[in-house]
Amino acid sequence: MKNLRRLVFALLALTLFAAACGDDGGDSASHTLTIGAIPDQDPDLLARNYDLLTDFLSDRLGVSVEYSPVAEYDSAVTQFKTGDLDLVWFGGLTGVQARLQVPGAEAVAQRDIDAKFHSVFIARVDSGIEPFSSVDGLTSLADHSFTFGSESSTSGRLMPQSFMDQSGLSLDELSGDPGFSGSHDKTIQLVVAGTYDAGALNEQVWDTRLAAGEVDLTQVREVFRTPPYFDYHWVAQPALDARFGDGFQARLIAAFESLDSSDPDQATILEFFSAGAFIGTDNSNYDQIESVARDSGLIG
Amino acid sequence: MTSSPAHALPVPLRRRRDRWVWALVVLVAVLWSISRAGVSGVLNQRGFGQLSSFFRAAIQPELSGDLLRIALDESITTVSYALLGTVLSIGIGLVGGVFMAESIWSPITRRWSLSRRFGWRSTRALMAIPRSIHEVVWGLLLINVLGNDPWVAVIAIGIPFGSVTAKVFSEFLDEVHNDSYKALRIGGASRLQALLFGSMPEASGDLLSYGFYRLECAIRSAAVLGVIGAGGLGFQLQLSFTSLDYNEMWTFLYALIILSGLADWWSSSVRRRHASPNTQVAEGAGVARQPGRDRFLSWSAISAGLAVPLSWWWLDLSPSNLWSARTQRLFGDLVTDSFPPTITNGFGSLFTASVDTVAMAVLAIAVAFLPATGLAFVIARRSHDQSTDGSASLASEGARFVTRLFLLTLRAIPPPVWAFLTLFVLFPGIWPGAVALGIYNAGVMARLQAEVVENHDDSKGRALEAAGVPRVSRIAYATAPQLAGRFSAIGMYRWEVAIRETVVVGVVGAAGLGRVVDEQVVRFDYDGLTSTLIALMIVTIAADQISAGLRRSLR
Repeated sequence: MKNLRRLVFALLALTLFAAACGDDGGDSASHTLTIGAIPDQDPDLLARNYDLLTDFLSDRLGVSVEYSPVAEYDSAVTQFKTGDLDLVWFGGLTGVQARLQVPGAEAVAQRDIDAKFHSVFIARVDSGIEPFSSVDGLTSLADHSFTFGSESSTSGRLMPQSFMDQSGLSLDELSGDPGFSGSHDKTIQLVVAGTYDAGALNEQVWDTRLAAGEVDLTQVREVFRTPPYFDYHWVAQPALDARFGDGFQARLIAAFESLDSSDPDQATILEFFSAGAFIGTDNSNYDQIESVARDSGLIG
Repeated sequence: MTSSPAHALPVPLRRRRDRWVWALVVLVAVLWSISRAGVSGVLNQRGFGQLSSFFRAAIQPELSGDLLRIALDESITTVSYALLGTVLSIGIGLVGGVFMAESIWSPITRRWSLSRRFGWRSTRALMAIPRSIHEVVWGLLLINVLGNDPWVAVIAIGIPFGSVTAKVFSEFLDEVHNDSYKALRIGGASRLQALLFGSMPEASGDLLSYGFYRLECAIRSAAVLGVIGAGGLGFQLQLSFTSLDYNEMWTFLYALIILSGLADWWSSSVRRRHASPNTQVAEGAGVARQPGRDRFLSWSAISAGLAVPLSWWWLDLSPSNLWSARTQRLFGDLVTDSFPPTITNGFGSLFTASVDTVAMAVLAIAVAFLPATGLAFVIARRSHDQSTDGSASLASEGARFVTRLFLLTLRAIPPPVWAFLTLFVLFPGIWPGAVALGIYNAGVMARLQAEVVENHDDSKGRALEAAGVPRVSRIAYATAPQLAGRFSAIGMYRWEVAIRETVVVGVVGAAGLGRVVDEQVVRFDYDGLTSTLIALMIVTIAADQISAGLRRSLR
């Protein structure tokens, strides 16, 4: 017991010592471009292999670039708001949320595919839900249990919900409350398991998992692919030019646009984002998302 | 209790009658929860294949060099969070415990005045607020103020743990206060002086020993905090969990199991030696140690002492971030965003969700209680076990080890992961949440119950053993009656904990406050979140009062 009491004093003394020696961070942070991404498709891949991307950007832009992985959609938005992240790969909805919380922030780049992104509705083979080709067909989900992906996901929640609304299907007509599986992959597995009759997810994740033979097609199938909408994009803090010099944002966009799949390293970077190429974009492309999000109460 | 008013019945009889009343209350609560959760159409048999694929992946964790390096780095981060969070919680507990102690409020000679009683009760209720909010919610709020900063995890662990520690420490103070405290008070010392110099020296050792116990809990909390992006093993686990890479998940789960196991071993060794420092005799050498000087305790003290600054350095903590201009501005923003509280979907739905949360927590403990009790007897180490012959003790030693490992696994897998797994085989609603929290809490309860088994006075049981009574009967007639009270107290304590844990299992669907919190968080509806948290506080404080009442009747 004497030892334990001594420990208290040792702890206090050493903590104070460490506190006194700790550096205060200084202002070196303002010279580093900190980037992040929502944990959407295979976030583990990017989070563990980000140096390709940071090296590439650092080389093109002449500033040090740091990757700060994020575990949840909403904490990516929050860290953009607090200013911890300078440039973030957002989904449609989270990008709009981030720009609303940081006035002046801009959508700077998207993938070639993001102007025409789709969601996929999947259903259990034995659920009685037959494939259909128009939005109106979504009414056949009535009286079935259904799950979205993550609450903040554009392709796994916002747009599917909006298309269901368009078809005249109210969420109250589903059997039970809609679920929120947490991710696109979890949606697939919960429908395969039969926990829910149907679900909606990002078309890319679905296509990738299908191609890899990871989906049990005896249990689940695609019943509908939605009309296109704008989705993922990079959003930048407003003051980048002021911090890193005039024309920095333009060079940043140019760097993304220059990513070329014929270079092996750059091809890997594009692969992490499942992109053929990056192209420029601007805020107005996400007006539709913003109004849909407003309608469903996801933004105030 | 000086405060008890006079009753007509003699005390033991009154207690016995209270016990039956409480048993009835618990039974009704469990039946009511079952009816609320529903009994038909709960099981989804089609999902067992999915569930088993998760456990099959356990034999094939991803062992690539890169991933192992990440696991090692992140383990250090997790331990650092846990250690510093625990140190902070001890600090908070030390100060908070003094003000929560009954002895600092109660007069020693006269009866309680109404205002004193009110003061003590309201202090206790106030101190219950921090612990009614889950670490993950604290983390979420802190991230809004501190941004992406390691302080988030340290404080998110430190505040609720500090509040729990304060409560426990106040009970230590009240238990030890009698003689020296009274002597000092009668000698004219003030309450605070009497507590500081009379009760504190003895209680502070207990507090530190309790701190070591909390270390393992803190490691598990640090892992759960990964879901909000606080770094460490939990964060990596969350990344692999998002894409359902089970093999990678198991790599991080094994790392968590190892860390929890080490923390468990360390804390129980320290506590055992702290409890009886003089009975330790150096093994083999035949040299009795000096009383009060235990090399293991010294070693523990020194390494914990060194680990604190190392953790500080590893996490690169910078105290100035806590009161920087940005922090102050963001704190102001959060307060503006969170007040005044609003009710998002009407009072009725918040009430329904609160009631579901209570039912989920009741069922979680009901599910966990019997299995945990059984397993507690398997892992408990009794002094007279060693006297049996070698082969038998080898077998029981093996069973003990396997069971301990099993229990470690139950509590190393974070509740959100359990919730998702149970959703494979149970349809959405209260049940999957209850079962997920039940499995996790069984891992915790069995360990606490085993300690009770180890520490209780088993003279009656040994007397029966000497008379040749078989083991089952010995447990039924001697051990069980003695332990039932303590076990129930543990169950009540975990029930309170399970109530706040319901916020991290929102994935099980519209049952309980978890789903409500999830939706408010993604909408950045902090006004609404404030109301939900107030509802959670009310439920937790009510649960605290109920369980305090039950524990009193069992004492």
